[in-house]
Amino acid sequence: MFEEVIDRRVARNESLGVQPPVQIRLSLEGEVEIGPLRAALQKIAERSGRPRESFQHSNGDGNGNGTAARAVRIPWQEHDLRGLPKDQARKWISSFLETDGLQGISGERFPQMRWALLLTDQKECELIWSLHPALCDRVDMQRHIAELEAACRSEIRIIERPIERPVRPQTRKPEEAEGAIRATQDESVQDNRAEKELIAIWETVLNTKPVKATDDFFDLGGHSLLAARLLARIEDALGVELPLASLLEAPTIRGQAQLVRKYRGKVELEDYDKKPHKIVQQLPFFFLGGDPTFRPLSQRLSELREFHSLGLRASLIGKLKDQGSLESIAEQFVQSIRERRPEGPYMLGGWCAHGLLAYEIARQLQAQGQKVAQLLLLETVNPVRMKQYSGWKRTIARTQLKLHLLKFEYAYLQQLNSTQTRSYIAGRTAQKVARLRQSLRRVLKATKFYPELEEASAGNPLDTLYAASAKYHPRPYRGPVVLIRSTKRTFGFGHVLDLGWSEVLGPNLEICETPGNHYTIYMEPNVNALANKMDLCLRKAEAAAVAPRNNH
Amino acid sequence: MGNSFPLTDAATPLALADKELHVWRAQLDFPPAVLQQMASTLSSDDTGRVERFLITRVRERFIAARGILRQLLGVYLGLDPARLEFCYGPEGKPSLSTIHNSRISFNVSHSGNMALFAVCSGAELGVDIEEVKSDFKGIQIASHFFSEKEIAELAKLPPKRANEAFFECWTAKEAYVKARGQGLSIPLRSFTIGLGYREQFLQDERGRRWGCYALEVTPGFAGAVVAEGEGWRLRHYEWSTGVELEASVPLPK
Repeated sequence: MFEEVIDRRVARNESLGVQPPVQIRLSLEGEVEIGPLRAALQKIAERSGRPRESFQHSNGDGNGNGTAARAVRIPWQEHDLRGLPKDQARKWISSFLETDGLQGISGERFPQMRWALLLTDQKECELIWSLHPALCDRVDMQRHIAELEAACRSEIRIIERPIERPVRPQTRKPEEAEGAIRATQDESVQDNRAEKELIAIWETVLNTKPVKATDDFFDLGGHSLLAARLLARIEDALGVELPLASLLEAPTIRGQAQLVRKYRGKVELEDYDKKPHKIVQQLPFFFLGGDPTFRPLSQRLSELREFHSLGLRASLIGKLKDQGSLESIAEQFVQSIRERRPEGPYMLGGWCAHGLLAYEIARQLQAQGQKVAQLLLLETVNPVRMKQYSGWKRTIARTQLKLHLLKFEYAYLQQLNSTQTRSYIAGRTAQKVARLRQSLRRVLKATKFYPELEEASAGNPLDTLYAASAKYHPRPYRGPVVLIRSTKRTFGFGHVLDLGWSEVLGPNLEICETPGNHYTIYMEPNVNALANKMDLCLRKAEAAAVAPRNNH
Repeated sequence: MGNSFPLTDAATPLALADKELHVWRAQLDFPPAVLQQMASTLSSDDTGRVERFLITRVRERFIAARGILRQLLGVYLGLDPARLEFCYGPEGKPSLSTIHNSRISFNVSHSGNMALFAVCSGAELGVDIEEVKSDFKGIQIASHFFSEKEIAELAKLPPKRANEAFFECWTAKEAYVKARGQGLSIPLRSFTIGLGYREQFLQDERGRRWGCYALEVTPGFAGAVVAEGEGWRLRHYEWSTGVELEASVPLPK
């Protein structure tokens, strides 16, 4: 059904492009069975047409549990808000909807929809269904709701369905020509988009402008090292790994754009049309960091794979055995991860101190006999090695990091609307004031004047995490780890490529880079490159984890 | 042709002893008049290639490298440079045409304004030179194209040294695939170069051994030469003077 709508529009050569989604909010009552719900959504997504471009093929054996294997391919996010007070949860949701609305949805990437499940209560949750506007006039919501209700055995009602934006007028073409035009134009639309992206990459790598789509790479002064650089960039930007020799086969942008499509197409075809049973099980990715600043990254990753964001909440801090230790924080997370996914292989990751938390979680999961297929550390420092660095270097690095933070905040504020900006600034100010009062109190040793402060600071989850990280001593961990570094680094320890991990991890450590500084790597415009890079690492790990032996 | 081509003054053809590997170093920036002279020695398929270059500097450096190559080979063979004929392997590797009935093989590489020409007798060889750029994100390329061992070793080095090591490793890999004559179709991660190597032997899938030698070209450049077999004696020359370079001969450890 959806496929027809989209294809006809492509056939009419209307640019579907990226558009703000139509958001439908559904409330699910009763104890929702998440697995069957996802399977039902997957079916709906599958009806929306072809599989997604970036899906990787591998030679894994047939997967016994078809629904489970299929159920993980939809753009899916899960957020646990159960610890939050009601009014905060409401705020969280409205801010989520705003960010989700700002993140456009591509009309050319299938499926043209995504879901987020917000667990608000033990007996209730909310499903946010974001659709490309081109689809919304064709969605038979009543029918889908009936399907979903049957699947997850809960009562579903529509909380909110916004007024649909008028769809752009359609120009008519003779009906008989449509079918023929469809295929070729679909391809050319894809190629043109790829060509544009490729031109930008070629111009940077070759350091010449302008480059035409028909220019030969080697005539432009290209040689093998530049070829390697070019293909590395292409892999980062487009998520397609072309072999070096492909440049000999297709030395022009036009040829390369077709190759990109072919490589993607090959993956699609082998994956889906020809051998639908040979699907590599896509593993869910657990991302540590519930902070709203990570939302652009969560959005992108959730389009690429099943994604869970796990945040440190104030309510959790209270439950800890030992607040000062990262090990005990990690214990809590291990528990909640295993509630969602009882058995491995697991894939985890996090940024900065959250990465360290992910490290400890991965270690504990391994200690419990679970397999961890991949651990992604984003700009995470080995705290033990950093302490061995001289003090003045650390001071300079910290100052530089603060400057980077300013750039980050600027980039972040650019992405917010006015309400969000206000609340962000208010939050930051409150934090600053609290810190100021706390240091004042420490200086004056005036506990009796501000007795409430002790509690407040103990309850701040991020402070707890950072304090615990500083004291953490990473114990040995055996398993693949990818350290993702920013291209812009601070002076001192920040400049050390491996951030002190080589000696702990040895040959299990792989390092790659992504554009931006410590903070801006997960902000627009860098977030796309980061998400693609993370997804690529995860896909490689999946193939490696599933290839030798199947778990189901 | 006078002073611009000093080697043409060499009275006798250069001798290439058995198991000797000659590496010539040359700068490629020449005044237009010299370039024109060089261009006149190129053959029709060379000039066809020249005309396709879209960037002047790239075109001029190609002319210079080809001009010098013809000059050099002319001296080895005792022939007029313009009369040399080349043939090309399946992946475009040039070699002397069979009409010359010579055992001499050669390979050329240039980067920036520097070029290397490697010549030996009776064996396949490959040479590579790269300008070491300090801002180059070598590790990023390494993570895509190098073997796991190389990536791990690179990650352990401080950034500046890692960058140099990347180029040393890259040139060795390039020289090897060039020597094999299969261009980029040999996956670069399928073999491993020890970082900081001076001399190393590589074995291909047919069991043949290849000697790989690091070249200290000049500061700011990394280079390597690979030739089939073992026990090569390297000799270094400067093209503009024809003088053998004693100082920059890499010392095998």
